[in-house]
Amino acid sequence: MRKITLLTVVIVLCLSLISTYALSGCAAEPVEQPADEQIVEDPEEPADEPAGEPVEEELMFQDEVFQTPYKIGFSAPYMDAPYDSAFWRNWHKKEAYIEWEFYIADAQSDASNQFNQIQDLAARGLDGLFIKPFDSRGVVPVINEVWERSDKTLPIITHAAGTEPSQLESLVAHTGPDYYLQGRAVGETWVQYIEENNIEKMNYVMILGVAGQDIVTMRKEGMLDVLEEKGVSDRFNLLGEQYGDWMNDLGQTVMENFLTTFGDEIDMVYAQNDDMGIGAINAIRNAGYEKGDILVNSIDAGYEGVKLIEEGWMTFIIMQSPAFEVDIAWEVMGDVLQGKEVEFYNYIESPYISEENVDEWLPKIAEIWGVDE
Amino acid sequence: MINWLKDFLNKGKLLIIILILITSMSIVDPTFLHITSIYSIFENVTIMGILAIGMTYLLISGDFDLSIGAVLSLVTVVVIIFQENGIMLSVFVGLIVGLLVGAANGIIVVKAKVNSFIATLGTMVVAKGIALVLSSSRTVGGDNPAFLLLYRNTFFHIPLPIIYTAILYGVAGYLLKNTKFGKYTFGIGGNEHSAMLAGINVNAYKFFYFVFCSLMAAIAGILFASRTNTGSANYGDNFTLLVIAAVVLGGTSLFGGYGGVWGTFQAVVILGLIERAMIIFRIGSWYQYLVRGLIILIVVLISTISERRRKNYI
Repeated sequence: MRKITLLTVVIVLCLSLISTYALSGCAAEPVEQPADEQIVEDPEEPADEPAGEPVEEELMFQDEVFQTPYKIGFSAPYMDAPYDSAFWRNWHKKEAYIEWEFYIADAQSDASNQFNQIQDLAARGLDGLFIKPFDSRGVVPVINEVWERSDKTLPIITHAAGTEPSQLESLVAHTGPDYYLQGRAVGETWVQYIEENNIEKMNYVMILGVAGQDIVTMRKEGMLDVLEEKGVSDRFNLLGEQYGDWMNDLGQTVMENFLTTFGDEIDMVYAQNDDMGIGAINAIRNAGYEKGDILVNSIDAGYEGVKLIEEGWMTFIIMQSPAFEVDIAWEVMGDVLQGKEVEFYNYIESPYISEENVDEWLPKIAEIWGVDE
Repeated sequence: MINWLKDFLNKGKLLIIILILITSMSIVDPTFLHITSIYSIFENVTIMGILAIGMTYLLISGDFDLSIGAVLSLVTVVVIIFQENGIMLSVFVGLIVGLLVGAANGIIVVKAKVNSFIATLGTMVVAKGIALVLSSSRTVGGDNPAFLLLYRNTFFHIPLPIIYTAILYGVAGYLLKNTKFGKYTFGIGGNEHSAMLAGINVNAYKFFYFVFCSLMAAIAGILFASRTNTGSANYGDNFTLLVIAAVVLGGTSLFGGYGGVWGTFQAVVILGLIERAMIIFRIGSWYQYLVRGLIILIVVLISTISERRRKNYI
């Protein structure tokens, strides 16, 4: 075997780094992995449009602020969950219409990584910074520190997940979904359900996201607050709750554990996102239950989840559109860069999808999630 | 001339990598060489750097400690919980926790003769479990903002974490290179049996290395908690593998008997620069996974080749 010197190995290391840089195309756009086999659209290419017809994004982002090459950072806690993949697919698709340079850091579900990356991004000399905190509490001193080091000039916007407390002097705005209202919508729907169906007692389980995230707390508290306000808390019996980390496989495992422990006692499952809801439905199917035996709801409205409404396995979903999220994030950052006053909280709409309107929504969802029906 | 160049390239390879990274990044990003940017790179690697000191000693002596990440997490939770009793007390308790876990590791490996990989895997799970119970699986926050000063203060404009790290590296490096204690560390790692026959109290020293490694993890945990004034059972999850990679990249042998803290320090800086480079060069997320994985693979390759060459020279 040919003797390999240490120097050769060092050179290989440097060449690997350089070639990785070259492979990345000297740009921030990662090649998106399809969330599932149904995704066929190339996320790097804008969709083909008839010649001469401006697309919606062209009209939305034609202002000068979007055509100026501002450097914008985004500190993401993770990018590999299916919802986040769809978010980034929409993000990169719309990048074709603006001149902003994006610097995106993926903390890969590690809080300490994110703290370091926020500092690294801020040291880059950015014009604006988005942060989606992995650890809502721990990130606060880091945000304050980078803001102070920028002489309090760096506009920082939290997106899709807030800090604890949510309003800081160092933050100019928050954009994204209103998780508390989503939770309330879930509660209101179930209250209406038990009233219409004269149900005395509903035993339910909750599959939660990642521990420590404010999304989890707000989606849960939203629902529980509604039950309390309507005076029906005693008619909803929470059998158990566990974290599924937003993941399909963990959601399935958690549901399998619930079924083993509680079996036929379970009437309803509140999964805090589609992937965990789909995982729960897989567990329910595998356990031999039929459609409607155990009611399931989730939040997101990805294509697979909405399809399960059409098939009768999912009762309803509160929608959270990754496309809407991108739009609102850029609009608010654009306003901030132009020096306009902005509201602190800027939320996207969260429509409700059930068997009554699933036919109307399914094609739109397919387009947002890049699915070829 | 060529021999001189070979020698320089061999001994200075890590410095060369650092120079290449700094040069390429400052070309792409003119703000890279600002003092605040440099400070932030060093700050970001202080936690990993302190963890790596303990791991360097342990690897040189021929053992492993997989529990350092869990110890860090546990200590962050403990110091925040005890913060209401005073910062000094909470720091003291954090150090004691680190010492206790280290002592447990030492006893299990030295007295019960359990392989250090397995023993510390067990203590890792136990430490994390304790952290989860104490924190109720949530991030716990401190109420005393003065605790942040432990991390955020500066000394002659140099951030304190950099100073702590420099002092720890200085002391650790001096002990390793210039004292009998250091020589025994290499001796035990090189050939434990021979060290025992030479009259070295191998068990006592090995016990000490585990305690020392956990103590470094505790110090890192205290600093980590001070950075954010929060504690979490998850904070230390991803450190262990990176720390081992840094120590081995720095020239310490995975098989014991060879290494040094100066190499570890350079390797830690390289890893910090690579993280910054991935942002500056706008390397996509999935490529970042690839880069980190490649680094670990190359590190193992370097270590194995180096070990083989050393054995050929003996």
